[in-house]
Amino acid sequence: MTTAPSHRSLASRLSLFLGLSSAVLSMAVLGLIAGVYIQRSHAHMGEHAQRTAAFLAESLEYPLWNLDLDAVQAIGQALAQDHVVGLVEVFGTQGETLYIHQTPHAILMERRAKVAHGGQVIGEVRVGLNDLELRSTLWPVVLTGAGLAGLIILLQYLLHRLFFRPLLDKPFASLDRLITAYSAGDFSATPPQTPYAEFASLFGLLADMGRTIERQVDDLKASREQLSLALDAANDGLWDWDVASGKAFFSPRYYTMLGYEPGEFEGGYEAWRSRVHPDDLVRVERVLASCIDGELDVFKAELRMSGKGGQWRWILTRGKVVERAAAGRAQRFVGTHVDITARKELELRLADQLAFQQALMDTIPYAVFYKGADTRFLGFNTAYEEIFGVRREDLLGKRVLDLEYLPPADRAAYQAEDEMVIANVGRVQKEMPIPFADGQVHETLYSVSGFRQADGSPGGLIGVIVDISERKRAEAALRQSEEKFSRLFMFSPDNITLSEMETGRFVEVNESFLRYHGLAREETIGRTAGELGLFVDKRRRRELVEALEGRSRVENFEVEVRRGDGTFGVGSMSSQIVEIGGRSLMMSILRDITETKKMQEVMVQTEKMISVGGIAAGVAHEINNPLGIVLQATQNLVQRTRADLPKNIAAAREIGLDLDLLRRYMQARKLDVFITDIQSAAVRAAAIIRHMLDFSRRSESKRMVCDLPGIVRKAIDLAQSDYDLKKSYDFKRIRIDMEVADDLPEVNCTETEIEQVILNLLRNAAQAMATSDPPVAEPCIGIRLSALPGGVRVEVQDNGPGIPPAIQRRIFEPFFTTKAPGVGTGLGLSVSYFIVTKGHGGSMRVESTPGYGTLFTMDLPTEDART
Amino acid sequence: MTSPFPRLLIVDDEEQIRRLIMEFLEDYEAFDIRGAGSGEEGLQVLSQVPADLCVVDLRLPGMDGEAFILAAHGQGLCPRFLLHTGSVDHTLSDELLAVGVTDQDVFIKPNDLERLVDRIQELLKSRGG
Repeated sequence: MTTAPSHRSLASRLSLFLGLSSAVLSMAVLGLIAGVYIQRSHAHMGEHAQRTAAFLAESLEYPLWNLDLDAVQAIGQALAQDHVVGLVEVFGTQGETLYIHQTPHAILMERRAKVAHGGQVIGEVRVGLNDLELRSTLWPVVLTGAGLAGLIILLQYLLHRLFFRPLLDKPFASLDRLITAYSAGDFSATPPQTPYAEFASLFGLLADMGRTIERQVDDLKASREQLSLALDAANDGLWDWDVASGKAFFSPRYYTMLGYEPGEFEGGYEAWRSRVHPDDLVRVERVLASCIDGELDVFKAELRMSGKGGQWRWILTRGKVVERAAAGRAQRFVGTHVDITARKELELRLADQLAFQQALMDTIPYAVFYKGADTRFLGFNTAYEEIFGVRREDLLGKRVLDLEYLPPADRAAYQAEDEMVIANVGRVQKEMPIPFADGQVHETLYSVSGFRQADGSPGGLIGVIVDISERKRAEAALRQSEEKFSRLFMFSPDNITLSEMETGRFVEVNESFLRYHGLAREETIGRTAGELGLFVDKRRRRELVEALEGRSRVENFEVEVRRGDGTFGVGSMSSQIVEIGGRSLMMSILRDITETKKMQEVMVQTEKMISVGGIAAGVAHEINNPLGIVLQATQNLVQRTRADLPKNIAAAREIGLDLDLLRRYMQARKLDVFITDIQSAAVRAAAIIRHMLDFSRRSESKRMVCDLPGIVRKAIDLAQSDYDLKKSYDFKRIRIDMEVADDLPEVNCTETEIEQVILNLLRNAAQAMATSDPPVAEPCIGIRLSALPGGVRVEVQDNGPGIPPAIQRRIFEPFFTTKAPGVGTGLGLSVSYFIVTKGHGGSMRVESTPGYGTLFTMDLPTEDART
Repeated sequence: MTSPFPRLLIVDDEEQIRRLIMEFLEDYEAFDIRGAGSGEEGLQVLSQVPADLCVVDLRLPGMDGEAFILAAHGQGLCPRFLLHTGSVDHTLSDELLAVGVTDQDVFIKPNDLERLVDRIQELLKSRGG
């Protein structure tokens, strides 16, 4: 910006300078002349002073030598008569002033001279000349010079008035007019004609310049119009800020952008500043300051400004310093405003959306990640970070190829897969083991899908990694369990069936069931137990269903079933209702307990026998003592009634008794028979007791390896020679068959006991067959000796009347007998039973079908098997 | 007190049985017979005068028959013993076998006393009386 002080005439100045220069020139010439003249005067005066001093020194030689101070004074006064001499001073040898003469005129120069006499300095003189002479000669010169200079100046001025005006003033005036016109924007004025070459070219140049400026101004106008149009079209506001003054121009759009009428407030820095959001102001002003200081060239910022109604508008402002002061400080700043409120709101909404998206991802308990089209990680959730022990900032922007903790081969494969999924916008879902940060390889369901951007191009991929280790384990466990249960079902030794609750149709049966009933699967599935005739009593199935009602299960429901081989068995059935696939099914497990029941009966029997045996032994023991008293007392009775015993004779004699008479009396009154009866009864009782005691007798010490066939034969011999058997039971008539296997193992036994057992069995068989009604046509007893694993089996079978089941159960009990009193003690079989079971560690049982005969079986173990 | 007959001691807690045996044996007029109701009493009797043979019931109150036999034999009060017991379940222990008791010396009640006398005489004879 140029300031315009009051204008002075160049021409008058020019003429003034010319006059002055002429004056200076003439003054210089005059000065030179004066200088030369003064120089010469000085030289002349110096010479004069020298001469005067020398003359004085010479004149004073003798007066001073003679110390004639009057003479000295006289000489000094004489010299002082000269009006040029301004100072005369005479000094003694000690420098003391002997004479002084001084005038008030300024001393121009002075000279000193030594006073000598005979080569010895005896004083000194000082002579000073004043300027009176010089002044008297100089003044005319100066006045002449001044007059001359004034004359020259006057002449100069007159010459200027005469010649400069037409030569300079007029062309300059026309030049001035031209420039004034140009500066006013009028480029139409034509340069005036001039006869002088200098001005002609100047005018020519000026005219060219004018035309250039005119064109440029036109261009500028056009471009400004274009800019304005562009700004308007872009809806941009314009600001033009004069930094120093703080004033600024705001374009109309600037105002309307904020909801104001154009020019509604005065443009300026404060007007802008007051409208900027406080949160943005510090930041934006910092940038602005950097631009102003020259650190930044371009200013760009996003900020909020309050509109007229107080609402905030987002503004993008961009500016550039267009003028800087010499120090670099910005002077003028021009820029634009763009309303980016909509974009900004969109951005904020997008940011909200992104935050929501991240929160959504973080909520998912599985590792979620997504990558851009360049296969680089864009983000993932916290589950991903936790599972893989990575941090977002470390992984973002990386490709799977860059993950150094993966084996190189895997990285390449994963990278290729990523690229493929992204390029094809495809989808990969697979189960794969992945090592997690916990150091373990987890079974995972790895799933990635490519996605498209809005324009349809591949945008990247999204992946989810679900840890399915637990599920896999559970699946495997379930599979194993299913397999296990399936096997359990199929190969269970019990019969297992699944049937429909309502119809009773079989849905599934196991191998044991089919084998047990002798059925094929095809003929079983879809049919009922009734149709197949599995139950002996068909009503039992209905009873079972009724029992199940209101209960979840029924256990140990006994039912008689038909086996595949046509025999009947007793089954224990446990049933429950199970819901499978929405159907109500009855699952039943049937176990054949025929054998178990038999075993149970045997066990009960055994237990009973043992307890009865124990009781019997206890009773027998207690009875033995009184029985002993009875027996011994009768023995004493017999002994003390004997007639031949000396003690009896002595005692009888003493009281006068005839022993012979006593004997006859006893016989007459059958006292001796009574005594014998008592004795035999006691003996019999003792024998019974002895048998009873045999139950608990151990006879191991008497056992040795025995010849079982020999024992059997001996027993048969004994039976055949038994008087009682021969007479009462016609034993001879009975056919005895004996079979002995070749490979009988050796068995330890007490021969007499086993012999007794077999004899007992033979006796029982003979008695049974003899008393049978109807009689047995061909009575026969079969004895078989066969080998068992770890023992020998002895079977004694008859074809007698058999034994009813009720009696079979009690047959081994002591004192249980079906024989008439006195015929049997009821101890035979129980003693046999204890001999075999307790004495020999074997087993004994009876099987009998009434009307067909009876089979006694005893198994005797070998020594090895016993231990 | 000196006697020409072998000395017997009957140890049985059942007084009737003890008495009947003693009565039965006395009729032989061949034995010097004493009785005791328990092992302790038996030892006391023997300590006064030892015996040549003892008939001992195994089941006795206090000290049992076996302990009595071992004690009497150990103190040199009696060299031979017969067992007279109501129990059939008895097997001779190694200690009893060691003092010379055999299966033949075991008599189970009720018992024929003549067999008992036979065995007593047999044992006394074998010793060369």
